Parts: sequence; structure tokens; C-alpha cells
Amino acid sequence: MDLKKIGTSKMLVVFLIIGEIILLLVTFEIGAIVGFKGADFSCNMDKNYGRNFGGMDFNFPDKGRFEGAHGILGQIMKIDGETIIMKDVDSTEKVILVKGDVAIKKFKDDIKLSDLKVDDKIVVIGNPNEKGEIEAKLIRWMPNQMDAQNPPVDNSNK
Amino acid sequence: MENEYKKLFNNLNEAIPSNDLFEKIVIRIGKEEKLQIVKKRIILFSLFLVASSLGLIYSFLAVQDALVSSGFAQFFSLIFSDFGIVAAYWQNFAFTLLESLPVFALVVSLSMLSLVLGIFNFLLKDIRFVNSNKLIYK
Repeated sequence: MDLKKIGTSKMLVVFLIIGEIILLLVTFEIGAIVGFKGADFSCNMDKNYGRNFGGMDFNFPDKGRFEGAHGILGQIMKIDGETIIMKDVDSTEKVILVKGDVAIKKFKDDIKLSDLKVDDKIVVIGNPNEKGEIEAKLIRWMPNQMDAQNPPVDNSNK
Repeated sequence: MENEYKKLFNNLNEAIPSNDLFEKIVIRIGKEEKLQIVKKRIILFSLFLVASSLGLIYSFLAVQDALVSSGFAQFFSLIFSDFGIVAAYWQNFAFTLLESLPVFALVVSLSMLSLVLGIFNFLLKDIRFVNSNKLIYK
């Protein structure tokens, strides 16, 4: 028997098992953190849904899973001052606060909040607050298919 | 003339079979039986491979659809269009990606992939077995 070989293969198995356990624990921890954030945001959205959307005592629809708390992809339903109300891909209304230093982008250009209009498709990255709103950090205007095929020509280098 | 032949055949040495002939025949019969089973298994695995490959293609299409409909693809594309801002708010961005990741579709797709690879592995082993036995007993 080659003791060296046995030692190596057994060590490899032990390392693999330890590695898998670490990976499993890290994944579990990440899942728990993401789940907690989602649950917290969904809870705040539920508590404030009536206030945010009409001032009634109205509970936010249960979709069987937590809401995305840090990013939204969807369509603008309404722009009211520094607030955007948008419909995400699951048709859930969300409130976006555009306060302070927020980057709003369209193709390569920086644009203002006033340049956005109802029905525009946007992607928002931000931070959830305790009112169930998302404080935007980045808003990117997303082109529809026709815009994507014919982007504006950049003449700045000519 | 007939007597001549009789003489000739009487003088010929009798062919004595080797001591392990019986053992060799039994081993050969065993291998032939195994070969037959393996050949049937190859047909079965081939059918499984075709079915699971179709499942894999379908699950990949489902993942592709889920990545777009969940917004993951659009969020991920921000890395290329707005790297500086994404890097500045990397925690929010990482959470966004994790929240929009279509986990179920990915789990199904990866399971299908491992199934296809597993079946392919068994199929290769069986084909190798058939080929190696063909070479030995040609």
C-alpha cells in the first residue's frame, strides 16, 4: 500500500467536505441576510402601503415572497416632485425617492428627473427606508426595442 | 486406400484441451452475457440522454426567460454601462442581484445539466466496455 497516495486522497476528500460545508454556510448566511432585508422592506411596504398609495387602510397584496428592496425594474406610473411611483415587473407599485446626489442616466448622458416621463421604463438601484420606499442612488432609463436599435448618434468626437 | 487413411489418423496426436479451457469458456460466456446487458443499457441511456438533453435545452430557455423577466439581466447590464456608480453603491447593487436571481430556474437547470453529464458519463463507460471487449475477443 502506498501510504502517500492514501494520505493525499483522504486529505483531498476532507478538504472538499470542509470546503462544501463552508460554501453551504456562507450561502445560508447570504440567504438569511437577503431574506431579512426583503422581509423588513416587505413589512414596511405593507405597513405604509395605504399611506403611500391613497391614504387608506389597505394591505399590500401578498405574492408569497418578499419584495426586492434594493433594485427595481419597471415603468413610471407617476412623477410627483421628488417622488416616482412605478410599477415593477410583478405589477407592484413602488415609491422611489429621488433626493440628493442621484445619478440619472439615459444612454451616455446624465439627465434630470424632469426629463423622465410617465410610461418610461427605468432601472433603479437604491436603499430601502423604514417607510417602505426606496431612496434612489442610480436611475437608468431603459430603451424600448426601437430605441435600442436606433441609439442617438454621438457627435462629440467629430 | 481406406486402410491408409485409418493408419494416418491413428498416428495423429490427439488434441488435448488446456486445463483452463472450461474456465475460459465460462468467463467468455459471462462476458458475453454482460456485453448483451451493457448493449441494452447503451440503448436505454441513449434514450435518456436525448430526453434529458431536450429537458436541459428547455430549462436553459426557461433560465434565459427568468433572467430577463426578473430584471436580473437588466440589473447586471449596469456593470457595463455605469460601472463607477455601481462600484460606489456595490452593496445595494449586490443585494439587487441576489434579490432578482431566479434561483428556482437555476436550480432546475443545473440539476438537468448534472443529470445529462451523469448519463453521458455512464454511456461513455458502457461504450468503452463494449469496445474493449470487442478488441480482446476478435
